Amino acid sequence: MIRRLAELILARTLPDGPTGESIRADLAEELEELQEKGSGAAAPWWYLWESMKLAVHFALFRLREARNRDRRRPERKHGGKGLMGSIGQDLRFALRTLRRRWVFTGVAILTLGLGIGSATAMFSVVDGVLLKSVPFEEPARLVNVWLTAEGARGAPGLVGRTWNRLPFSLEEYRTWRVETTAFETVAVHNGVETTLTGEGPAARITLGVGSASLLDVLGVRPVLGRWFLPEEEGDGTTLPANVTVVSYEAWVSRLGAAPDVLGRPLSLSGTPYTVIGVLPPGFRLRHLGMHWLGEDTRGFKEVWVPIGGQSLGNGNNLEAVGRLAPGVDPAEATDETLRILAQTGYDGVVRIVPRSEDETHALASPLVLLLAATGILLLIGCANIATLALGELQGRGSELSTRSALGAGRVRIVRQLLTESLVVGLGGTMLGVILAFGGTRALVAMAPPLPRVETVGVDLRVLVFATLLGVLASVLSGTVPAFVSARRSAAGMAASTRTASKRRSLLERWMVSAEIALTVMLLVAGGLLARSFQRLLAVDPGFDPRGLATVSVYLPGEAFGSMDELPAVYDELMAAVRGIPGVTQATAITRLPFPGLTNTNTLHFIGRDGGEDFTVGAQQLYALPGYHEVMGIPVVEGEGLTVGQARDSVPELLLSENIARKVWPDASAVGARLRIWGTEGRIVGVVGSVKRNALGADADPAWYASLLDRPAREISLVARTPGDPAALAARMRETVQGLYPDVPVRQVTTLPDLIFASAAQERYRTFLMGVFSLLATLLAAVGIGGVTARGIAHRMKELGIRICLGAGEEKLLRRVVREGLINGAVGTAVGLLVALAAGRLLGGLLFEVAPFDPSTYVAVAGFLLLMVGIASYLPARRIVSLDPARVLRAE
Amino acid sequence: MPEVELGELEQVVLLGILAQSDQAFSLEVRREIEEATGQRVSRGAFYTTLERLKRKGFVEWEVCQPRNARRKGTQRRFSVTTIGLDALRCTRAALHARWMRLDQALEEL
Repeated sequence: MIRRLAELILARTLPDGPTGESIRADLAEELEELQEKGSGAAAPWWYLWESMKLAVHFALFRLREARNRDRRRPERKHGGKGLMGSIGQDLRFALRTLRRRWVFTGVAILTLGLGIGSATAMFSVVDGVLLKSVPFEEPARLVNVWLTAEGARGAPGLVGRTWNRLPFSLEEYRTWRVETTAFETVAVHNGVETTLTGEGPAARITLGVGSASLLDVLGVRPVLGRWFLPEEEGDGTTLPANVTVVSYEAWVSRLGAAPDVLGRPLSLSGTPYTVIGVLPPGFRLRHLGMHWLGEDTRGFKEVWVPIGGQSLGNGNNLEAVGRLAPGVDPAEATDETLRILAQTGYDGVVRIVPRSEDETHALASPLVLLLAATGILLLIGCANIATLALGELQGRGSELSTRSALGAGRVRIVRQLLTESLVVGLGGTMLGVILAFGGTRALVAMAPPLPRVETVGVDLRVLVFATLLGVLASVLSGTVPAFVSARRSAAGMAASTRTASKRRSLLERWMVSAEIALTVMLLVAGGLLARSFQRLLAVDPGFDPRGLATVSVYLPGEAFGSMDELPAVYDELMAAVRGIPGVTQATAITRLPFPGLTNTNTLHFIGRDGGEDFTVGAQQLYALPGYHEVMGIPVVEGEGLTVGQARDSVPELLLSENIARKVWPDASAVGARLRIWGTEGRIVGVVGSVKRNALGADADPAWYASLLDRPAREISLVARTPGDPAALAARMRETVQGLYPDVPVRQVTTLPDLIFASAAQERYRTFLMGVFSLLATLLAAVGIGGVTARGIAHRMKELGIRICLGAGEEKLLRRVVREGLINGAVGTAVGLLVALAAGRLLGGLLFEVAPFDPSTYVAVAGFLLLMVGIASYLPARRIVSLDPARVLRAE
Repeated sequence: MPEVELGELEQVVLLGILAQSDQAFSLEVRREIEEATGQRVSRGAFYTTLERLKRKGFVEWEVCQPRNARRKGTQRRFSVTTIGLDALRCTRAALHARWMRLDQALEEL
């Protein structure tokens, strides 16, 4: 009973663990000795008495320890000033420590700087292109209104997405404008090209066509003069007034920023217009639907004229924008618009999309993907710094345990290490911002045409983003080492060094595996994009672009007279181009493939053998005889364009193979009759299909007629040379300008360049993803190398002993590399699994490559394991040169 | 070398552990001290001193097999760490310096 009471007291007051247990065992042993000596009855009382004395001693001991701790840490008891003081102390100490460990500090700042710099630069692009709202008043209410033709999805002549982005006709717009109540105001616009004459050399410039309400809808005011009035619009029967509003940029560059510009005449396509206003600088309005000028990424129109003119062709090309009335939601507006358009006979679907979303939707996924890639890169950097810092802790063991012994609590040590990590983070952020300035410029310079790319730059928003990244990265990379060291210092250095170091090296290996997993994800994405890009470039465009050079010319009526006189001009031009040394063949066409320009027209076929008539929509192209031969487009059936017929004889047309196959799968297209140009024409041949917009898209259905039959003012000259096509293009420009000094010459380039440029988006993301994944690989390699080197340094004694005991160096080397490879394999496996799961996200960006393309996965795994092997092998080579005697002495 | 001066009992305990070398179990060390100094050492003072020396990193211990049949339960064997040795030397040097100054002062009298 007495003994049990004593034991209870001891259990309550002695320290836990072996210390308390061994003191109790000591006392029990002394008790047994007493009992053996024969003082049996007094012994339990002695035991109780000694237990109580021990209890008092340990209670006092604890009290004293607590008091000492408090005395050593006065800042805990003095509110704010003490805390600030101790933070200042932490900062000074951090700076001192980091200066002393300058290699670690340098590597960490460089790693973070790279990560933060690339993420920030990418963010500035995403921010400028995707996140900043469209630069118009109250963008939330600004919407695009599209007509869509479900039935036309995939129809010949409607390329890609454009079936659901169809424009309004003038009649539809005019009815809608009068009747709508769901919209505050509605407007339409479009873009074409025109020739400006009389202001220096003749120039082809972009011409905007807008309704009188356009600036009201956008919330923009002219800086000089006014915009169009409703009565200045054409209404389908009367033509619009010959008034024009010029862009600020054109006012400055073409009209010398003359203050008296209002009222001044301007000659557009040979017609005199009067300038009535100047738009504010930077005014941009993109047209987003299918357009014969190709994709409009800049949205810049030099001059504007009112809608309703003849230049709009059949007038069915007006893109509608509207400002929703307050409180009206898009669904109501959609219903109302459908109801109104039904009056004009429209029976399709109406789609209303916020303008900001509509402008960027195709760009969002690749840009966000790239931003995510930089995020992963930064994570790898953080993991790298964390493993580095863990390794550093090993060297700082005695420093930390001294601080701990001097009374620094767990919180204080964690705070100290986090302060150091924040200082590194600050350095990394500063470097990152500097890199981001350069990186953003490089990203913009390399960028494919992106909307609003000119507004991309490092601004306050971007700086705030960089700072947040820096703090996040510091905390991420500092937390693990800080808590590990705190646990360690709390556990006591001397007693458990081995366990702690084992635990740490396990943690290090986990982190390296995580780094590898993240790297695998980036490499898989990069690999898939690269394969897809390779496949894309390998696509046969349907013609042979090698050695082809081109220039585009515009032959205005003022200088070259009527259409009938143009064939003679073509002859002169062709003779001059063929005369250039090195030119083997030359020809001309209205629209070359790969500027992506479209000009769809409908062919009305007469049914064969009493069958019904039918129509086919396709690109209309007019070329000189011999065009297909020069371009290397095969004539599949019938004959090619030979010499032109007289204008009033039977028109002869060629069809592209894809139309012929689709319409006459079992018969020949040659001989088919059709109504065209008010008479009856016939198909005389079938030629190979040609890709016109993008290598990744299907070849466009097209029909060809002779340019000599239907001359055009704007043509592209094409010539083939066995030499350098770029030099030839320059010579062609000189030749044309030598012949006709006033002719505007554009697009002086080569066909291979045009094709390459058509893949600019794909090239951009593939290149950037490649750069990011290689940087990630480099960082991961540094991480693995560092961990292996530290692991070896740590195990020097063990390795020395093993070598003494006769273990071959080669065997040890293999063992170290094998350990690295196991880590690598774990990381690779996890990374591949995550990449498999995330692969769907890439699907939309890939061309002819499955997101789960096995060969990419195998190649990435192989590459990474090779990298891991090398990164483990290089530091492990030290083992071979190990002198066991010296190692053991050093220990 | 740590700039510390050890208390008297701390010195005695460290010296006791060193004297017992590989037989430095807690009971033996205390008995050794009592024998060497001719004074009783309170158990409480002895164990708390060991604990304090451990926290300062001057001694370390390992759990080992009981050294006799009577012993039941945990047995700890103590050893003095390198910094513990340094602390002892440091204390000795400081005391020695003071004794030297005392000697000088006495001679000048």
